[in-house]
Amino acid sequence: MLEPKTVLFLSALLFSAGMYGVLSRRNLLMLLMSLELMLNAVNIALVAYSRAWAGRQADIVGAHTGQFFTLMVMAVAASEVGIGLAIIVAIFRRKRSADSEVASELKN
Amino acid sequence: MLHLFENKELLLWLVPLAPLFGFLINGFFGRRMNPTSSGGVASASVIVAFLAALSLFIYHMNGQEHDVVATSLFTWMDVAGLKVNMGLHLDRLSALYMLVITGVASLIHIYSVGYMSHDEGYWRYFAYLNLFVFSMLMLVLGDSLLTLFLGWEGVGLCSYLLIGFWYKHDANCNAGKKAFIVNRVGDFGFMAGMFLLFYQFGSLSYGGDGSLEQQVAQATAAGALNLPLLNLACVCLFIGACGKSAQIPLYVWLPDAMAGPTPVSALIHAATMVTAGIYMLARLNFVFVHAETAMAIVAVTGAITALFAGTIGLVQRDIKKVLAYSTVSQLGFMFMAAGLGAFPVAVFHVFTHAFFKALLFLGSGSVIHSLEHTLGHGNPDSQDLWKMGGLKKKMPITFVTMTVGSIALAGIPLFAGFFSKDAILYTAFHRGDALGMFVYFCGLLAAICTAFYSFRLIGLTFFGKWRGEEKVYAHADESPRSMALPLIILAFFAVFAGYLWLPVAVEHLLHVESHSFQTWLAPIWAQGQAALVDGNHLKMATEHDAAALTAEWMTMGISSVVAVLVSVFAFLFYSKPENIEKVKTLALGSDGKPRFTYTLLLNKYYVDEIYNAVIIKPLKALADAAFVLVDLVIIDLVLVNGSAQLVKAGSDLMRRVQTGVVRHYLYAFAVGAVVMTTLFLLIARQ
Repeated sequence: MLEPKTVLFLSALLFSAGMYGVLSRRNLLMLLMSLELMLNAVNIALVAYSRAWAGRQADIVGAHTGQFFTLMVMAVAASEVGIGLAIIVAIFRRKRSADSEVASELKN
Repeated sequence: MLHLFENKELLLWLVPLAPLFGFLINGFFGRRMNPTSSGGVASASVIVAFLAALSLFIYHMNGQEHDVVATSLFTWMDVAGLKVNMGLHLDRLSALYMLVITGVASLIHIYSVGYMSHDEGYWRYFAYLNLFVFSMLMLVLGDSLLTLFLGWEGVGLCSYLLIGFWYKHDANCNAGKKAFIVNRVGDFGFMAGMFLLFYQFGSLSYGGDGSLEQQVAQATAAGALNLPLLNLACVCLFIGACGKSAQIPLYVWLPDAMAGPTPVSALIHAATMVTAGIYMLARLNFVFVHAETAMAIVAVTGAITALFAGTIGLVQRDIKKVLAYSTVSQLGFMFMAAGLGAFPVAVFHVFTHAFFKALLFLGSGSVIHSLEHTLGHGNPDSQDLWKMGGLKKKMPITFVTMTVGSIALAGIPLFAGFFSKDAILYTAFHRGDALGMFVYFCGLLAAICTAFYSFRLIGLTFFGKWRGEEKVYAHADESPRSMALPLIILAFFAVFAGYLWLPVAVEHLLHVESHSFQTWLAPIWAQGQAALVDGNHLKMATEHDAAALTAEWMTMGISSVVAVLVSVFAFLFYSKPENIEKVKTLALGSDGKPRFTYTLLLNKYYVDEIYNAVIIKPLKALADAAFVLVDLVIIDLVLVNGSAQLVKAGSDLMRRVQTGVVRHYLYAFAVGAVVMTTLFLLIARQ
């Protein structure tokens, strides 16, 4: 039986890795991938909490909220990736680069 | 149909509302109407008003009793004890004014149809003129001082609009503005006077319960009149009258008002509007009789104005300016009479003056109209007396009627002006004290001036040789019938209006009892006169003893001899061509420069220049300073631009945050998230 603490530690690790990627990478694709990493870290945390609190909740819906939420996040992440990739492709077409710093028209 | 005449209220409302209706039609649809219907509607509406006024007069105002027609449409305002109705009040005083206004206005509308026929602003002119007649009728028919003030402001507005009627010339617009601003000074006095009256008596209406008359009567009976305050109120009201009726020190706008079309000068600036001040004094006679100091001020101001304006009139070259100063001078005569307590005499002079002065203005308009044929509209030469002469053969009707008007104005016996002006001089003389004598001598000198400039005008215009361009004279012609007819009708009244009130001495001689004018108006003065004790100078004499009769013969004799002699002299002098050159050299001193007195008079005693230096310049400097300090510095620089600059500086600082680099936003986002979470945890732990 996995301890929730272990799973949460893994989640925090993954989240930090994703955040580091988001903040340090300039390539938009890498940025997107790092974002996914962060989202999935949250997913793991949600599932872990759900497991840990399952026995304490009386009603079945309340006990499984975390898992439902994970499914929800995955659906949103999928659509987000779809839109994000489309934007990246559009930027690449215009700028011939997937660097996040070339798209700075909104400066000032 | 006949029972319509028995509905007095309806008939009374018809009088002011008919011109208002004409104004609305011309104002809204005039642009699309052809000139004939535009002028027709305007004239018809005023003639309807005149007919209504006439039938009111014939059917309801001629009884032995003092008939009053009062009617109210609705309550205008009702605040804290001040209740003002939108109502009309017709008594004998307002009936007289109503008849004169609608009558003269009808004639002038008919005259204008011809005079303005070539003007592009034809419908605009008639709309303004109708609005004026409406306002003037509201002024005299309103049943409280506030409705009077409504009309008072209305006529001021119309006067402004009509003076600046030919708005393409700057001078005309400036004259309009001057009239309006000077009148505002007077209006301030009028309002202050109204406030003071309301403060003292708690009412501003006349006729009916709780009216001003009743309040004054009660206060007098209780001996509770606050005389200093009453004097102050009367002086304030007189300042208002000074503005509207062009008395020193506020007369300066009237001569400039001649920039408007000549029929306007005849109607507004001679016959009706400028006599509104006298109307107000006569209307409030029951208040004024208690304010002896204020009355003395009125009389002295009137006397000085009469003489002052009369002397300026002696040397003016512009035919309309002569008449304008003459009007100021005659208004001074009216105030002389009113100030001496002889209100009926003042009103009588208003009555006769309306006819002969309107006649003179319309006559001068006829001359100008005929010369403008060749000279073109707005050419100052068409009004220059030095460039006229010998027009009597060209314009016989104008010549005869204008001469009649001048005779009446000059105060030559048996014409209208003689009776009213002599009554004023006699009133002053009869009073006998220093004030009376001062007023009498000012009046006599002013009468000499009047006779002189009246016949100087006739001599220069109609006699002698033509002094302008030849082709102008060749094309000068009698004016059309629509212009000649009003001249003839007015000339009739200029001769006979005076016979409505013969001097007592003449009545004694002829063994007749006419007095019709005075007897008819007597109820108006009854209350004020009853409140006065015997021996008060403001109490009108009811009986004439032998000494008074002798005095009346004497003053009549003096003024008629003087008027005739001066008139004949002026006429003979100015009608001879060879004298014109002599005049020009006479005006020059021994050193060849214009004499001091001549330049002084020609420049109207430099009053405009003095006002300019003393009042207008400092006010302008103040306005300029305020413009720079308040407008430019405080409002523009600090408030408007300052706040904008502040926002701009702030946003310039803030926009640096927007680098356009996604990563920077993400950093901010991450740091923000960490900070928020930390804070949240810290707070949650406590």
